[in-house]
Amino acid sequence: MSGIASYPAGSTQLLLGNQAIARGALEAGVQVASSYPGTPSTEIIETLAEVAKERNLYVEWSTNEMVAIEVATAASFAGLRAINPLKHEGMNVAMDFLAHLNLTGVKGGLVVVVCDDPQPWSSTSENDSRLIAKWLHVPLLEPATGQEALEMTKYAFELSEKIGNFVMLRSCTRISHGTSNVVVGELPTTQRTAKFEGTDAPHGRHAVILSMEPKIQAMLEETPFNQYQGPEHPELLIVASGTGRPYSVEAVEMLGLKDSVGILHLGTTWPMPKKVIEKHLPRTNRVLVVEEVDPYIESNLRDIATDIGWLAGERAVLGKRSGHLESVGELTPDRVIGALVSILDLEYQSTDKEYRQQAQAYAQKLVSDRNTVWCAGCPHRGSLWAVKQALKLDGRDGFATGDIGCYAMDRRSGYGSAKTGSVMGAGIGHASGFGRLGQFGFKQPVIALSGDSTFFHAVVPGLINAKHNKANITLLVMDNDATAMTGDQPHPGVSHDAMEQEAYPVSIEGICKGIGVPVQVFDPFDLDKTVPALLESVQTEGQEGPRVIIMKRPCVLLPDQRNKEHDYKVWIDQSQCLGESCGCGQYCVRVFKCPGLMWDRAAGKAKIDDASCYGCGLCAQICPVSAIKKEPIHAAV
Amino acid sequence: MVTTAASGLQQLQDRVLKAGLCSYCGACSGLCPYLVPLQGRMATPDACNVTASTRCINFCPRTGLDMDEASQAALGVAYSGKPIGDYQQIFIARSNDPKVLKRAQYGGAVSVLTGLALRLGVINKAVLTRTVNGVPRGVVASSWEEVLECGSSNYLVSPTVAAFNRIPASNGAADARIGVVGTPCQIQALSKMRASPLAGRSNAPRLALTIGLFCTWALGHSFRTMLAKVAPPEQVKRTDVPPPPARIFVVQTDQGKVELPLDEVRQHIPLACQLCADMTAELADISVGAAEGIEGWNTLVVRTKRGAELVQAAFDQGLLKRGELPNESLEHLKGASLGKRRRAVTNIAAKSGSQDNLLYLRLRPELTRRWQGS
Amino acid sequence: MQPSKTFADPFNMVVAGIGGQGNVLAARLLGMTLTHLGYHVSMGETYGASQRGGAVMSHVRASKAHLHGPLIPEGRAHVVVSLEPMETVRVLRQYGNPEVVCIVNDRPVRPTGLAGIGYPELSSLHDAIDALSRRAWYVNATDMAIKLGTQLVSNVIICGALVGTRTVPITEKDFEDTLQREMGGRRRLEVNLKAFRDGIAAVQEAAVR
Repeated sequence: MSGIASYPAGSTQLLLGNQAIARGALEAGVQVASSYPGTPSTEIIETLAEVAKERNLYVEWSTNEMVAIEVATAASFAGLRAINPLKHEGMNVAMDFLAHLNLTGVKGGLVVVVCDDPQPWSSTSENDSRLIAKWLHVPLLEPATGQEALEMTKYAFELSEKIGNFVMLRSCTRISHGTSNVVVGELPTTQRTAKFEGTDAPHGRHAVILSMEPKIQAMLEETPFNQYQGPEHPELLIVASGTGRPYSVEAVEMLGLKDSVGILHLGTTWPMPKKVIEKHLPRTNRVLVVEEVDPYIESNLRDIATDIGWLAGERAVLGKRSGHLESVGELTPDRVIGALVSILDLEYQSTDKEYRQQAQAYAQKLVSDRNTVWCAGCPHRGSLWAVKQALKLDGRDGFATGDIGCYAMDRRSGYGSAKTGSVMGAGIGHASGFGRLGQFGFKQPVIALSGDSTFFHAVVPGLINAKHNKANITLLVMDNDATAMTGDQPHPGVSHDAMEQEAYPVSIEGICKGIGVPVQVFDPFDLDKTVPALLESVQTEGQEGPRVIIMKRPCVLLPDQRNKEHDYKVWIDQSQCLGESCGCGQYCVRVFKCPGLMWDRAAGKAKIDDASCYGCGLCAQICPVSAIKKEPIHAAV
Repeated sequence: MVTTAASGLQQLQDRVLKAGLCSYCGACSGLCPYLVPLQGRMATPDACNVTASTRCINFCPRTGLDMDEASQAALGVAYSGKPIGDYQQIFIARSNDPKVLKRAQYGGAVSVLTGLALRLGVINKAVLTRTVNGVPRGVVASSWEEVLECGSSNYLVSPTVAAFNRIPASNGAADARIGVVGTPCQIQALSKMRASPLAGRSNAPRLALTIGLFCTWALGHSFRTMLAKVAPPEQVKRTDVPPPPARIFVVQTDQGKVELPLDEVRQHIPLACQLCADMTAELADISVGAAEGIEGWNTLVVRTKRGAELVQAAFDQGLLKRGELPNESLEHLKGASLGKRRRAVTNIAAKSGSQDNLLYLRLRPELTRRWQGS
Repeated sequence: MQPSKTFADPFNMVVAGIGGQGNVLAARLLGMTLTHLGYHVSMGETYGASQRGGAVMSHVRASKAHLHGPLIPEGRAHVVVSLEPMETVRVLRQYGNPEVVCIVNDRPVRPTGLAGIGYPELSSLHDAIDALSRRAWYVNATDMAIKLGTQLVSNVIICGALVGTRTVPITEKDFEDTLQREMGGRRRLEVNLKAFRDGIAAVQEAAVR
């Protein structure tokens, strides 16, 4: 036995929140898990995939989130328990189906885990997915710790089967990517047999799910997930969910408020546990709601407080709407401390003022931002360099429409060709639209960017649209053999699946040819070929539809790439390097910007950072005076 | 101290490229990755940050061309402003070699002189313009065969000086003796480069011969689209503008001859060419053009001692046949040259908005007045 | 050699570095050791950008009383373990206090692009770290790791240095037990044990000097 399947029942483990969720699912007897990679949700599938063989699970990285939820639902329809973890942005992709599934209902327990990313640390947007549960009339659970993540996941499967609908579990980055001690339970010893016997049609079921809501509410009110701790009549009642609970507990301890502030932890947040709230509100006149992202509980609590006549006169519900906490960015212990200090009019210093000022002064002088950048040896550096060169050489203000993947870094820390970038598939969709604006005087060339995983996820429909409507654009597919940004998960183009079993590699080139789009394939490090090819493509006149250029080279973080020997020994002949003077202007470190290149301040010349250089030799192609030298490490003997 | 001065590249962009003054001679290019000649304009793929001693603005003739300094550097005398510049001799000539005549634009004198200069060792590298698939660019020739490849023109602007700049300064180029065949704007660029305080960081000290080509105007690369409608680029053998009153542009292809209306062709002349006051490459060692009305012959204007020596050698070796330029033709040539100057100063003043502001062109006041008045 | 002093509860450690340096693993090894010692351990990691040159920070929190949240409140770190000098100052700005101690890998990793040209002098970073901590230890773990044949173990060297300073409630044996449990493969275990012991030796030598 290995991974999460090896932990004996009752033992204490140090688990990532996502591992706790996976273990909870395993304890609940989950048999099918499907998703598309997305930080911070990815490890749930990875953890289950690791034990798929020994636990006889079916675990899948699907083409996209909508396919993933449809796959998981099939298992549920056939009577099995299934889990579908997503990040908040993936939830949006799955929404079309989920907004019908709530009406259809499910058979085997189906849990949709949505991992929100407040701040956002690894996302383009900062959404609060909890509003979806309210909109779809499905139950919503919010764990506050790893332990609770495990327990709630288990409970969610039972609840799902009891109510015949899917259940949403809302995590966030600090829960999913937080690590803590978790006591694990028993693993089941039997599995269900899959058999499908039909489903209800969704239309006309709105009334049914509405009528279910009070019943669900009653069930949730009975769970152990909503608990009060604190004095009988606190001066202030904190209502906290998710990370809000541990932060509130700590803030109350640090400020010495245990006797005057109580904490009501809400773990079930749709339907709101009205009876629980009715019971605890009268303890006090003031409530502070502490939650991640939107004032979701705060608004619902106001409704209930108004309905029951509590919210009147001096009484107040405080939180984000009152300005004591912020809706933007993630919750932190300090934000909760700040809210308490302001509401209760306290004095608090995180550390003494003089120290803080001194630390600020030092940091201002010495600490610079670290942009995330493509790794040394990353194929995207070659691809996006060629995109930049082609668009700039063309000189008509051409641009790239970006997409989601490591290449999205082009916009902020790369070469700046990408001018858009929001969701997967938007790049080709935008390009398709731009490519039809010629009749309105639009003359700028457009290159749509796509990764390989992104291509399968959402680019194909856009490409078909561009072809059918003869949009004059170029699509650049950067095929690096992996879903790189989330940690090199497999995708439909590679020859193994999430469970490390052999899979059929679907050809990107073949799909493009099937659509009838001309395709060229290059090595992104062959700038002599890629720049002219891209330039020719962006300068293609007329309305004959898109051209596809595929750049093929594996991600350097893939295990076999990470461990292989370097292709080249790369060094700089400083006697030739022009450095800061005319003819160069620090071209390699300032414009090309690879982490393998550094500035030798003493010499006023560039230098290779041997600790970072991957030995790809790409920089040798761009040095204006060929001062960057490369020599194959395996030279022909 | 923080320097906030704009980079050389930024200044070049503001003062020349965006201002429509660039004649695409190539003088700023071939020195760095920031200026790339492409399709008739200078592309700038990246922002340069060099502010001190930048060669691009120092070498570009359109950031300011002091005719006295340039003439001093090229010919050893201040600029006289005579109708076709200073010269020692003027006559007509043609090659004696039928093979040359077949490939050359007119009398083949440029090919003959370049080839001879290489053979005599006056130069060991010749920077010429070669047209491949309809696109002209500078190339470096070191043999007679390579010279012959470059024997004709398609009237498109060409960044030939970039090829001169790209000749590596290292690898024994210290003993390089470079000859350049170029249009007047290119010869002006080389003259400015010679006069520049940054000349030592260019190939100017190795410039051993300049052969200038008469130029009334050149065409921007938008003309390629017009030409492509008549014949694919690889089929165009040669283009020509017969003397007035014919108002046609002749395209010789594999299939035969096509005539384009000259007025339509002239729509493609870049603004920068309309601001040029030099028709006869007044700063070259030798200037060569068509001998108007005398088919198959060149007019040669010999301006310097080294030019004269090379021409003499060509006659001595029987490579060129010499003829007299009829006085009437000389007067016609002068008239055409003065006409180009007059149009240029008018166009420049129109662009600058002032008679006193000649933008890049720096002339002694009396010359300015004379050109404006004539 | 049992640590004799009493430690703060909760005990707060920040492990900082650059994506790819292995600080997440270092934090995890420390967390596992503390779990084994019976503490309630919670950890928060910021690793969206962990493999792409961004600043990465792990919070490790241990308490005998109860489980804490994954984030340390500002100004409340007891120990800063840093795999990169500039990152130490970044962490101290937010989590430092006059009593904090720092264990620093003294090998700079320069931010790329223009910022890389402006990497401060190492001595100015030392001045800042010394001024902002009760005590700081500097170890060139990267070079030491390269000597052991793999840069990958610089994080374990730094863990050794940390344990060697006796500023955490972890003994040499506690951590070695964790390595024994977690490092599969004899060679991998050996190189990690060696790295750990080298780290201890490095701070003890420094202390003697």
